[in-house]
Amino acid sequence: MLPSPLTADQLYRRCDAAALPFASTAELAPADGPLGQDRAVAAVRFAIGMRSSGYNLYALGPVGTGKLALVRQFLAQAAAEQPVPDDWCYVNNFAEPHRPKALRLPAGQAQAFRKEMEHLVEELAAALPAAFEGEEYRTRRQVIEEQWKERHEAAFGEVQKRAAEHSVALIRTPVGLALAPVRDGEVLSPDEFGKLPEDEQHRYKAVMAELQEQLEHTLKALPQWERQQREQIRQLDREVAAWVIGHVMEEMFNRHDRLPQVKEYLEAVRADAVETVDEFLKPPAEDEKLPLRARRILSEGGQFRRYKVNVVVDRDAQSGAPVIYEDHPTQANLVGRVEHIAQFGALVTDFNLIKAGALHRANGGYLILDARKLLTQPFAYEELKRTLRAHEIRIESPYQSLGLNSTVSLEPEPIPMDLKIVLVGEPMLYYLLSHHDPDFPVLFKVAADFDYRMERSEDTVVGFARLVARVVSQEKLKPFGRSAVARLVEHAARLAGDAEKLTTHVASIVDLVRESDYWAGQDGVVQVEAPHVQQAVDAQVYRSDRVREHIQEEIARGTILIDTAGAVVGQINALAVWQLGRFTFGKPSRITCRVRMGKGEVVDIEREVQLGGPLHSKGVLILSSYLSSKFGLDRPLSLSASLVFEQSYGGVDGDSASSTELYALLSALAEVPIHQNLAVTGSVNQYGQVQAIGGVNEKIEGFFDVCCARGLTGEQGVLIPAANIRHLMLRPDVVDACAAGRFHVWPVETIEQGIELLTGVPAGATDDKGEFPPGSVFRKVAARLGSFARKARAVSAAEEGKNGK
Amino acid sequence: MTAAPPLARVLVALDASPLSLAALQAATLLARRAGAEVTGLFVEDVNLSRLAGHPAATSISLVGGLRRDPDHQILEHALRVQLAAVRRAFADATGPLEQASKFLVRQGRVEAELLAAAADADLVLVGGCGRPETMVPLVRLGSIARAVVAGTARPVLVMRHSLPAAQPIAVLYDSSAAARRALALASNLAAATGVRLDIIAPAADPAAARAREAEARALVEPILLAVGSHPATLAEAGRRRPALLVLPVSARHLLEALPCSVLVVP
Repeated sequence: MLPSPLTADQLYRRCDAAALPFASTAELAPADGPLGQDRAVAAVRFAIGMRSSGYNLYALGPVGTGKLALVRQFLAQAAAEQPVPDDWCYVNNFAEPHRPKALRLPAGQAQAFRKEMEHLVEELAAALPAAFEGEEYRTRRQVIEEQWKERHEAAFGEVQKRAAEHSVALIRTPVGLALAPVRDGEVLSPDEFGKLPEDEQHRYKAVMAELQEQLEHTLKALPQWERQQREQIRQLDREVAAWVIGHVMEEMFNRHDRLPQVKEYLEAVRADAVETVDEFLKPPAEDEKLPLRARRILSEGGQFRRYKVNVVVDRDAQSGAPVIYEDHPTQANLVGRVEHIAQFGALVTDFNLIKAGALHRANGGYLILDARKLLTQPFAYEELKRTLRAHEIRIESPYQSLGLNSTVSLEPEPIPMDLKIVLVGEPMLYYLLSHHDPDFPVLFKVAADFDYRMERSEDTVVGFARLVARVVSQEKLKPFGRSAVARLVEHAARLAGDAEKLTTHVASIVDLVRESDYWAGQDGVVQVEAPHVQQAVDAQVYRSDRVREHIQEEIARGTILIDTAGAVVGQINALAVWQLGRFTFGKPSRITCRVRMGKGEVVDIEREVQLGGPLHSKGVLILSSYLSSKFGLDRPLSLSASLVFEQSYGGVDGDSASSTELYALLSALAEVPIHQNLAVTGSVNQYGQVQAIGGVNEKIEGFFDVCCARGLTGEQGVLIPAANIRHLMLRPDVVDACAAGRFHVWPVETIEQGIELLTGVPAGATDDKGEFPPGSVFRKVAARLGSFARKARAVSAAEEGKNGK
Repeated sequence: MTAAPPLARVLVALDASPLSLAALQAATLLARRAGAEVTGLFVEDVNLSRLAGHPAATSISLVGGLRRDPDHQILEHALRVQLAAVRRAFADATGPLEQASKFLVRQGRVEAELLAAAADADLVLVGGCGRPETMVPLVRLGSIARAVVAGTARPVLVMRHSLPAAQPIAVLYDSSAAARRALALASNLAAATGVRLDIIAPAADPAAARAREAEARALVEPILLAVGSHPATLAEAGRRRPALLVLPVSARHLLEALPCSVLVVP
């Protein structure tokens, strides 16, 4: 039995504005949560609640479904009730300066501690010179110096005295000290010496040898004395410095009594300041020979940079746990980095140049990352995983990790990490990661799967209206009247591609709400109504449909050959869907089929030239199989058929044209013409059942536009799979034309129904003898195939006869 | 006020030691201010010449502690190098001066030659010690400096370090005639170099010190000089490390103990 054309109600499920329980969105409380994402919401809540390791979250869903906003909203709510995490600073490690220490301080205290340390340095710079200028220190130092000076003098004085007693002089020469015999203060000349009695000469020599011995002894002791003197002075310095520093720092120690780590650091500061007290006593290096810029760099941060506190995480004035979204998740932006400054052509660094990353800022809370951005940043994903596994943030450049960095750099102490990572991204990335990365399922145990559509019910429609109310309220738009909301609901169903569903693609809806408000504003009204929404939809289409219009124009002009009247054997109107950006539209295409005697093959010309995708090829193979099972059970199929998408200059994929191709093939075989006022879409299985396809609305509208341009005759229409009825949300003009009987949409379940609608000739069913009724399409097909088979046999016999000779 | 001793001829003893070179710098500075003539004197020590090749003399290196006989060639070479260095330093220092300068080389005993030359000078500058500053001083004051201060009736400036710029000059005022001359000379120097003059007035008791301080100020004030003054002990005076301390000859005995440069005014 042939199906009837669909009624207007079946072609478009209206949203009854009168049934909506509000007059305008002004009466509605704005939506406070996500729309139609119950599963995702449950997953996000679960992930927030699970504090165990590895329960990080991946929010997957199509772009524009409001994943990020939802995740942020829920995390912010949860974070507000959680404690503010600690502050973190990096400070100098006095024992190993290339390994700066990480200091944890209660939230909001790091800046205060930094200022305390600055103040301490100022205090020491004032107090230490004062102490060392003091009377007591100077006297004690002078005493030490005097003691050693006296010791020197005594030692050399002894030599000099003994020398003088024996008329020998101790003389300083440019090359050392010399001993020589003297008389009246003058050295005896060699001649004078030679004239001395021999005994006298011997006496001189003996005395001088002895004096030289003594002098050598004294000279050897000198360096040791100097060391001892320096050590005594150093000891004195340490004593004075320790007293002053201890006094100045006492208050700090008391203040941080409960923070052992801070106390330990302060101890190290105290010990270092005592050891390097000289620096507090000298004025800052001011070498006039250095260029001004160099001096400025050297003095930057003062000479006491090592006592500075580098606050990397400051929670002052924060409430609750942090929720951080890192928009640019490079490796360095995640784990932080050690910066360098150029000094005299060399790059130098210290702990003051350590910069925190997003992980530091989010520590103790939540870090949201865009999965695609994360994966496209070199080293970032691997670094994030390493950090999650180790539960600590280690600042390391990729070059260091790879061992490529040969220059000296810092190895800052890792900071313990306790945070939850939320990746937001497309489903495909989630599936790829799950499949290819063994770490991923371990580290991201929770998936929040965002749906792209939701049920269309009274509740969801009201929820949808509240969503509109929220946008209106947030963006201060004009309220939407119930007719406008109803039209929005209908458009949401169209976007979902299903009359029984609504899209959850919030971004599209929000855009449409804004644009409708704009058109209402152009009209100068205070409330948005259905015509404004329609205008916004039409304007969106108009802005995007240049290509569609060109195609329609070329069809109308006959450049692209599409017949909408008459009947032709082996020629049928198929329907394809084109997607350009976010705009999709239907494009009618002509499929033709030619048959001849052959070896039972159906040639898909698209596939032969590699323009057909695998799904398309599959569809053609299925229809071949259908043909074989329908007509080739008792004899070989001796046909050769060629199927082609005419005027197709790009690839074709999908199996939605397989039923269409089958109709063309049957028409060609039966030599029964197909009505060109009809177009067809639908895939077919091996049993001849017509199956649902996608883009049904666009396809129908595509053929309608062609017919409309040439004038609707009342005979034109489209055959669609019956399973697609629920997806119909056609354009108002199409619905109106159908309602007026000027255009038709037939739901088809089987090939038999379809071929009869297309040719006006019944398909025919086999009788008890397995024969199709006379005049039916299948009878003609069977007859044609029988004729091919006979001819094939004759040809074969003739060939064999020839070969027998 | 007592007139300051005239400052027309400045003699500086040179031996290439760092302090003698500091003395040369100070000499040219003072000479430029006062328009005085500078004479540099290098004495080839007769004792050193005699050491070379002496059959009995022995020598020991201060650097390596090695014993060896004085080598005639090495000593001569070292002396030549010293002389060349001093000559060059003198030429460099006095080159920019407008007034006359001369460089003398004498042979003989250093003290004797210096004292002889000092007789014609208004101011004598000597290094406090011939050894480099970095070495541990073997004696507080070098024998040459001590001999010159003791042996001449001219003002002697004993350098213990380079003269730092823009630091006050201190003068010790004990009411003696030499102290008045010292005060006058110090005032002139302070005025010429544009620095403050600190008057230190030591006395047995605070009242006497204040009186002496007032007396000194009264002498200086007509010159409209920036003056600081305070009663103090002598030990304090030395520890203040002024750029230069001007002492009357009556306080000459302090010279040994003071770490700063000292100008002794007879």
